[in-house]
Amino acid sequence: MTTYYVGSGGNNANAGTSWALRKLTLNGAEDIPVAAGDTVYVGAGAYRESLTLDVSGSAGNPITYIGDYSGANTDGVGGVVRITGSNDDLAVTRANVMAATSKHYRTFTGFQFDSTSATAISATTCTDWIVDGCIVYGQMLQLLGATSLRWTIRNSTVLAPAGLKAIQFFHSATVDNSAHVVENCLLMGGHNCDGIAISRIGGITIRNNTILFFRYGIINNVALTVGQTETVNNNIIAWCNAGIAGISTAEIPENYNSISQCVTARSNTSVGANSNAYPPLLDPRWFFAARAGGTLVTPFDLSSSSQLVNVAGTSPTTTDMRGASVIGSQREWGPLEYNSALSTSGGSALGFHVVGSSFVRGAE
Amino acid sequence: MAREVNVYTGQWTNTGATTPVPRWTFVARFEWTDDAGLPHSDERTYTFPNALNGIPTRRLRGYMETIIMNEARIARGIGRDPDA
Repeated sequence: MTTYYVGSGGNNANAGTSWALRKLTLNGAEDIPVAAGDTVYVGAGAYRESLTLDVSGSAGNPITYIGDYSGANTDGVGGVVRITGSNDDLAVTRANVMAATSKHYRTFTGFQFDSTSATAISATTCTDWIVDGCIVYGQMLQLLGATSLRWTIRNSTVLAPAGLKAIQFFHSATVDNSAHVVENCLLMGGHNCDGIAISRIGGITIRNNTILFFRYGIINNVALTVGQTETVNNNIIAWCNAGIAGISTAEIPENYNSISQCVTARSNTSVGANSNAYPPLLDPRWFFAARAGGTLVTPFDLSSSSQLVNVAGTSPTTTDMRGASVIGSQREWGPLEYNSALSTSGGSALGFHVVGSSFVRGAE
Repeated sequence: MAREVNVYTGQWTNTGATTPVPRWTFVARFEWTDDAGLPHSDERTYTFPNALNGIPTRRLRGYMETIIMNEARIARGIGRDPDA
């Protein structure tokens, strides 16, 4: 059970056993090779590689990669740990960020997966994975192959591209009692894009997610074995063509879901008595804080790595949504000017601060 | 429009096994709650392509062009099979 380190300024010829001796790339760590029970801390920065997983963990001893946003275990400074399968941030086309075949007991937490047009994790016949606390621009997961069991995807955000799925459970043969879980995730998509798409896999639990802007929020594409179900509870699903879609009524028992502003709330589900159609009425205070010149970063600010920062454009505005003057002589795209001085915490003109994932009006 | 619309479909039957064009039937049940909070339901059998007869050309054109253009994009490698 060894701890390894990866970071900018490293060298894949290093042993990787300390921050001073860090590897340069995630593939450099993977190729050591890592072993069951090992942990790999990855420092802030952009990693332009497609990670090929070579090794499995074991029950109780997963191999864990941690994007060290706080910097506590790497450089002491921290920042976003971005993995992108492209050398060109101008291009939409990306390679998959990660590929695995028959690799089990793997855990990833704290990463930004920038897969854009591709898939963050392309996994074929892999079991006992945990993806926790990651944000994906692109498709998060394409789970393929004959049998994959016990995937947990939680506390993550996916902004999925048109035509793909945020999370795809897709198998070539019927899989029963998969015990996959998707919980506490924010999934957003677009045209011909599905939130959670399932083919031939029973036993998936989908709970406490917010699922917005999809063709289908959740869809079961292929009839399950008789007696198999997908359990869907406590989700907010809105602004989709169809919220939840099943093949036959008994396959998706669902309850305590709020499905609203969809053309069809549900089709072929077994709806419980406690689901409702209440509009979600999401908290808009970040918007008013921003309009008042607040220092908060919103979910729609550009990142420092965005190629849209300081690109000259026609008909530029002179102030952004916050009312702040545009920085520099060039113009950015979108309503929110990138400003490195903005933060995710601290005060604003309206006295908001961030507690957990919610904006709270600060009385103090 | 409505507060909530739920749809239940089933009994899909291929009736075009011996015909040169696809034909099928299915049963659809709509359950909805209107803006006044009143529940409604309706169930009927639909047949393809017969069910297209009553659709105005201006709407049918939009639906069909979407399908045709999606398939054209897939054929050129610039579109994705949405169900793949």
